[in-house]
Amino acid sequence: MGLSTTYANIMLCIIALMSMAFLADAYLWGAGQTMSEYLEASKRIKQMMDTSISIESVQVEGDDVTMQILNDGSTSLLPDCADFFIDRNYISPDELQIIDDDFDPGIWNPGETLLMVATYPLDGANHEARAVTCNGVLDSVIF
Amino acid sequence: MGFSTVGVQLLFFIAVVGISAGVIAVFADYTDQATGAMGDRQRSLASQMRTDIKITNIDNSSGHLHIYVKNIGSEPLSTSCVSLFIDSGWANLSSQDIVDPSDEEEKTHWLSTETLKLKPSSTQFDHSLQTHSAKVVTCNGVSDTERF
Repeated sequence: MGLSTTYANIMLCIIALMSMAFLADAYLWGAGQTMSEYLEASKRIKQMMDTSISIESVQVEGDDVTMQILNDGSTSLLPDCADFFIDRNYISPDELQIIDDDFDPGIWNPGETLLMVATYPLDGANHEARAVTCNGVLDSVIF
Repeated sequence: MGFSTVGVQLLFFIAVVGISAGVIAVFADYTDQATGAMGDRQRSLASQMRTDIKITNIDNSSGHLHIYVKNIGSEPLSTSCVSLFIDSGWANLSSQDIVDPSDEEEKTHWLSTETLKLKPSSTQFDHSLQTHSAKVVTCNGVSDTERF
């Protein structure tokens, strides 16, 4: 076997090993990233499954509409990113507070009730109120 | 070994070095491109897995149609390339605004937990259907469909 053949064999070996190493590295990096994203997505879905809210009451006094919404799920929620709709119209709350928020202030924990007050003139009967949590879980009632 | 044999061996050696250098360059380019493509695909897949939207409210009263969509994923989205399909037909949007934006910049950035309000400029309902459907598609192809 001449020098050139030996050299060629060594070079081919190095090329093959380097290519495999590059591709394996890229594949493993990708697989690791996908796994971590998959776990994040699973966590999000689990949190959605643990989330449940129930509009307990809607009161109208003059132009003020007051909604009391119970967190009857098993996960804590943030009240600030919740959305409220009356008769399918988006409303901005004038007041948003958790009733008896002694434990974990500012967090809407399971079993706690969120009080939302908004100005929205209503006339007649049969209106719809809807509350949507930060993760898209919603409840609506006719009042 | 004569001079001619040495010359031939030397020429072969140079030829092999040249060819192997070429092969290395081709393989390096191939692995580089394959790695880049895998990275791009991975990023796109990761972005899709982080993205989730939900149509939370459809207001189809008083002759107008307003669709509210919440970003319930963790990926910040752009409002500029959101598509809306009503009864499977593409709907031209007259506006797509974040409800309650804190500043001007936030109007075009659809961040996590924010709600986007879509207003189609004209709606072509399929009148043969009793219930209609609205489908919202984000820039990276994630969608949600709701009947109304």
